Amino acid sequence: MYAAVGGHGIVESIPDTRQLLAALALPNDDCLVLDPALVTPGIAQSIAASIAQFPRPVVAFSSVSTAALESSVILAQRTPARFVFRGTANERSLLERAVLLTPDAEFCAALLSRLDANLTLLPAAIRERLVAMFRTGDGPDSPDALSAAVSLPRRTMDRYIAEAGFVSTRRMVEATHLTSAYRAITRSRIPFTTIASLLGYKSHRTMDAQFTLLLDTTTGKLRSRPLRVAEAADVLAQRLTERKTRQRSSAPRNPPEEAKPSLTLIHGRPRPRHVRLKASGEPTTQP
Amino acid sequence: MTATSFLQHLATARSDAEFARTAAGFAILQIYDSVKTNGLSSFQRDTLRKIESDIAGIDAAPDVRTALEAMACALQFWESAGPVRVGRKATYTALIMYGQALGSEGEWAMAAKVFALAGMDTELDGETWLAAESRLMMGRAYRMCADWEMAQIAYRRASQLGREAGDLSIAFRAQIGEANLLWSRGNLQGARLRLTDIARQARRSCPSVVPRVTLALAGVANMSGEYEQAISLAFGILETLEEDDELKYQTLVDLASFLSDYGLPAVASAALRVVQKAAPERHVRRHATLNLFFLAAHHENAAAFEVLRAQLASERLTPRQQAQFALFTAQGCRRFARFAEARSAAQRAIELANRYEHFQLVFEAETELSDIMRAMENAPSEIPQRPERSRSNIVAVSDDVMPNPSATSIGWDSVPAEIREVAESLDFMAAQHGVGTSTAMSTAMSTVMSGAR
Repeated sequence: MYAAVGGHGIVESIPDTRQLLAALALPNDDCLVLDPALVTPGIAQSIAASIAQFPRPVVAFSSVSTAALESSVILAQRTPARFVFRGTANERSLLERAVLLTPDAEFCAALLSRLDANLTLLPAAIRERLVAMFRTGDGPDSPDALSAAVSLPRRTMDRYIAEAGFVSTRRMVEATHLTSAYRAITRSRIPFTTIASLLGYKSHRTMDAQFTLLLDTTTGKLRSRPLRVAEAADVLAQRLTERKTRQRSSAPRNPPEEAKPSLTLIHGRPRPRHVRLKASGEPTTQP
Repeated sequence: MTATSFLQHLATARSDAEFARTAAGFAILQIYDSVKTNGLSSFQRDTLRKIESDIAGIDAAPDVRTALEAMACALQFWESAGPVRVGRKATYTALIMYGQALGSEGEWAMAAKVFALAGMDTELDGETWLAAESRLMMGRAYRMCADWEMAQIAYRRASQLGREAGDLSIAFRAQIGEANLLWSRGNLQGARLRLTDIARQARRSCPSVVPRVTLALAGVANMSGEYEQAISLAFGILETLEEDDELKYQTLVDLASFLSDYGLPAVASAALRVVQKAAPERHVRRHATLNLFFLAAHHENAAAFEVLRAQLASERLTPRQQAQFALFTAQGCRRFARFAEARSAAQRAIELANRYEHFQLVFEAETELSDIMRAMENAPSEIPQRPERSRSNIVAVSDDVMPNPSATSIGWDSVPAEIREVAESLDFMAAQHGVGTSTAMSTAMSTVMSGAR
């Protein structure tokens, strides 16, 4: 865990389930990293209930065992947990991405609520998969992988996506990458080159191009002058459904959210500067 | 394809234990195939539980047993947890673990098939990262089987998938693997150019991979006879690997090979003793022990030879390692003028190497046997001197540790200051791990020191 976090966050350890549950019952959105093998299904239910009340990113890091999987199933169904199983040679890079690129729960909720009308037009398999990708920051990394995951031919899936009013499958997948990096950009000092590398971009510049396309701003500007969550969600939702907007442009409509400027600078709100992470199922305290 | 490979292995199993562990793996893979196609039924669930309990009694390496147990339990959760599909992720991870475990036991042909299966299924299921990882491992497994074309195909796909999954480290590692294929086939210049290009790109976009590229470049330098450069490069990256145990000990094992090739077996021993003492992975420690055994046999350290021989006799060695162990035993015994023992060990090496089709080892063991026979005919003092043997063509020694035969040690006087510093640092490292330097090395080093004064 320490190696994966590197110098980009603080790891606090909670060795006791009682303390863990007590800490989870407080509003705090630090990332929770836990080993599902160490909690019973009953405790997993309690953890899920706490996270439903006080949303926060969750990373489940565990070996493959019956005990771990029993709790993992509960966490997967009831929390936005991202799962990393031990045993592969490159698991460290996977864990690094999981703990450093944790989706911002508030941003995801705002975005999904704006996309809800479009998402409901999708077949359940695609909809559930996309929602899971936004919530966990994990999942198929390309349109082809997404079509494989939902067991549909690529062309059929693209048609469903277009019919639901989205620009393209690729843009949806890129948006899940952006949302997974949003927290690291706005609430930590993780170098942009590191974030770009974790997202698979060749350079910071390539990542910036993607952010400009989807959010009308660069990562540098986003970090120095973060958008309000609602505004960021508005811009991204608009970028994901531009096709629909264009198609209906002749129709009279004037949704108040779209009338807002896409870039609003927020001043004076101090932002926490560290991603705070928890090991062994431990929540973190505020910086 | 996978089934054929396992069935072939079952047909040629040499012991009940080997048959039982291969059969357990085969049974698990059959159930995996069935669950994947038809879903999980109560019959399959019962069978998995039965196999799970049977695995405990199988004579298998801990890694193999752990991987099979993981497969058996993960399959029971195959359809669980909705869109996140935890059960499938866990199953695929366990499948990759099984491939890795087979590889660490030297069963590379079966490992390659398991990785191929994992790669295909994960790709079809949209699990891009796991697919990239499987293809990377598949490339390595085929490289160990000397199937260069399949290795290249696997590495290329791993690189594409690694990029797609957003994991540049996998993409770069696959490219390093592909470059390693070049030198494996003798294209040292091509490999060097390719690795230099990868290093340049990695420095910009994925610095964590730079040590691996550097280690590969050191291997190419060593193959090209640029021993000092190889040693400097490998030693240079050691300091950056404090948090990466896997690569740290791989680097130490490789560094030991370079030092041995250079003619500093005592220093190589120091590095290997650190690995033997501290490496977290058992198979890496075992490789280090085997290399130490080779050095003791070739540099006539009778006490170390006997101690290591006893240690290795109680280890679970892969077929290749068993043949190597017998060969090194023969080589050591001949040097210690224990000809009857040497002959018996050489014959066993030939028999083992033939049985497992390690033909290079067959050739080496036959040459050794002929040396022994000549030595027995002559006076015991007239042990035949063979010409220098070709160096190992293994760069990443941890892939398949092949101790590097070094004909002669070089004098400390001719060792440049830079390499002496490496030797001193390794000596210090060995002392820190409580595995002090050998007398030979201490003497040599103190001679150099006093000479310098």
